[in-house]
Amino acid sequence: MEQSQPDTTHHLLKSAEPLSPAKLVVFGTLWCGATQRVRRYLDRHDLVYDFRDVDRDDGAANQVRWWTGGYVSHPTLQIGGDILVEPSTQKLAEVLAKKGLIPSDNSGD
Amino acid sequence: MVEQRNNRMVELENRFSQLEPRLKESPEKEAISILHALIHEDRRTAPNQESSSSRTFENVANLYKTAPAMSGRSENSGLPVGSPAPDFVLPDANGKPVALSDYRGQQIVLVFYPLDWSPACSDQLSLYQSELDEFKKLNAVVLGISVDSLYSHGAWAAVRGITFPMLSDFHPHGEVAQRYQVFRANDGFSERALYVIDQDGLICYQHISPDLPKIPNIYELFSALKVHTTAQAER
Repeated sequence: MEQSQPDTTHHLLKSAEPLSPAKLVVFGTLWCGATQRVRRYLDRHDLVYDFRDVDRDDGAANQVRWWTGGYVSHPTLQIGGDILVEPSTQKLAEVLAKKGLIPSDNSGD
Repeated sequence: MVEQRNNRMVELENRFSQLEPRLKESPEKEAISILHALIHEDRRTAPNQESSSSRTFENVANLYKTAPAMSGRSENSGLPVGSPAPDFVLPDANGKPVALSDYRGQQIVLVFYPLDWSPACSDQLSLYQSELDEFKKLNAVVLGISVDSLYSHGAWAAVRGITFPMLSDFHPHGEVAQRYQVFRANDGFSERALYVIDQDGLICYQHISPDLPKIPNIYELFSALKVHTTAQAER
């Protein structure tokens, strides 16, 4: 796949720093209930994450717009390279378990 | 095979993410972004394999996601910190009378919210339900209050799995909200407001959302509860 791309793009992609598999970033707001639910879920599992407030951080808002076709959907999570847009707790638990960040028998509570 | 596919997806997402700052704003950039969003929306909303009765229940539980959003700035400033919390008796979802004074000796988080089934209220009450252990650690109980009938409270609590008391300020309509100075007379429901009432029955924290859809910051609420738990322990 990569070989069929133009050389310039290939070069740019290779020079970028990929997100490490366990790196967690939560894009959200301080007043959004779903963002708070997700953050507290990560807190309860002692998972360290970066929180980026899309109300105050234009770069974060632009990144979310890029993923979502122009909407600042929150919460949006970046887990390693995976993107989760407004995930249910169950979906979040599935992805975290798949990456070995929480036990796989976790119910999603 | 599945793991290989997941790894490939992660690699592709990483590459996609890194491209954003390198593309100039253009209709082409917008179109690519929309395509990415379409794929995500399709994955997110894919039907699960559960039975039809589970799906029906889930559909009802998710009604709030497509319900009309509320809007409006706050119209009341509420009772000030330091005031005695007015006592009241209201029925819970089972029709049982609940008095504020029943909880004397514990911290009480009094949650006034506009209406059952509405978008932000659903998120807010579910958030508190998932934090009941944390509230217990802080010697705090949560009481939800709105102008909905006890029957609405019962159905909504069942659908959302809410187990803390939901009190019905239905008749006289919004009387308790009025006594706490959080009733929105033009709307017929309350502000989204929190009061923390200490062991002595005094208001020690209050927050009124400046915009109806905005849910109070739970980290700030926990901090307030911790401060007063510590202060009580030192007395």
